[in-house]
Amino acid sequence: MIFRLAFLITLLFFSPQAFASAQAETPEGPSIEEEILKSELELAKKPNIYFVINLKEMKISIKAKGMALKEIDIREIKFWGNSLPAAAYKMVNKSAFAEPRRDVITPQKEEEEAKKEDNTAAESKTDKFDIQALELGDMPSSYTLLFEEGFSIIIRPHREGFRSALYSAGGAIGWYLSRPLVTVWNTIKKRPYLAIKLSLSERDARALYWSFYDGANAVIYGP
Amino acid sequence: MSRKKIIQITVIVIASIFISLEAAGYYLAHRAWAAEKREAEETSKGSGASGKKKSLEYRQKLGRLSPKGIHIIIDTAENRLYLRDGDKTIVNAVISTGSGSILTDPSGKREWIFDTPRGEYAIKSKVVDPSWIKPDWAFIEEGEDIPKNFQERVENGMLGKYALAFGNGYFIHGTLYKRLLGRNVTHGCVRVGDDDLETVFKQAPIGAKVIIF
Repeated sequence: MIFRLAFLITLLFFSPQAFASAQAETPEGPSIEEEILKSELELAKKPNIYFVINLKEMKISIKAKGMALKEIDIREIKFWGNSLPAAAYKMVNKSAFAEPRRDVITPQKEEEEAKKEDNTAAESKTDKFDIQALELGDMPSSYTLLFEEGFSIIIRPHREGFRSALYSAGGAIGWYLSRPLVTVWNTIKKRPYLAIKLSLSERDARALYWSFYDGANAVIYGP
Repeated sequence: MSRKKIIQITVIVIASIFISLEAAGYYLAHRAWAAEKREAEETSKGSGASGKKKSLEYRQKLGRLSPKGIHIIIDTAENRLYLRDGDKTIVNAVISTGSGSILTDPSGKREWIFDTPRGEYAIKSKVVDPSWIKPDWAFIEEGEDIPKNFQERVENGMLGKYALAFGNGYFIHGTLYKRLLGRNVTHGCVRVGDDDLETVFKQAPIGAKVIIF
């Protein structure tokens, strides 16, 4: 067993593929900036909102028609694996531990409605009231954006304080211990592997979840 | 061999495998990363002046796509409306947008999701003293029967002084529920406070772009 594993590892280190990729001649092609702008232009022509995730400048822009509608600062980036060619990628799903659920309205008779209005009036005196709606605060701040091309972006809230620092240190250790193992596994399976983890302020993380709809396109580049 | 010795050997073997796999993982990740970065740099170098010219061309095309005159941007997460003239913000208003709630027809045949639609739209029409033509869902939500007579659907004063239609039955309009501004409470329309609504109504011409996100 040990010898088989050692053999496998040796094989991985010295596989002809390893040298091939390093020595491959690179054809003359468009610059990264050109690729980014070209991809963005294609998205900007459509009447949809799109995203530009600039890992180099640590910024996420929500855009339409080439115009930035909102800019979100990335507090921290963890990037592992194959680099990502600057291009537009399609988000297929958002996955969160606690996904927000839409409220279902129950049609009310007039008497019940009147009672509800009384309650609302009472609540308005204290100005603290709950409404039947999905709001920004209901959005998760920890989630994963899954892209059609097979990679994912993990979003985590950036929090201050000792407990958060401890939690974040634990997360970092887990990240750096687990990523190499996943890389080896994907190499054996001959699959490219890429993992991106972004820390945003809690409010920005929620706002991004709110804005990112299934099927949304994002131009991603860097770092 | 003693039991202690066996445990020691097992631990050493497992640790060695783990460390080897970790090292292999780090090496593979670094190798892939370095190779692709080198490739990207080479490609970048190759493009030179023609690449810069092309980039500039793309930038100019992107610039031409963005709205030049008066346009409206609506942030449904923050419940904000921005009336802009080019890059300049004229009005920054607190608004109410869609609640995202679901209503189902008791027959089960129809369902409404009360979201404010997102994307790019344009002002289709502008109305002073608009009347609300109550759609079916308004009656269903209140547990009332859907009227057969059109006049029973007409309700005055609900939409405030002005309304701007931006397509598919959605409006930017006024509200009686001013304390709910800033909350997601509507059936998809955009509710704006009186003063801000007046400015938006007067400044935004028919055809002005409305971008909602």
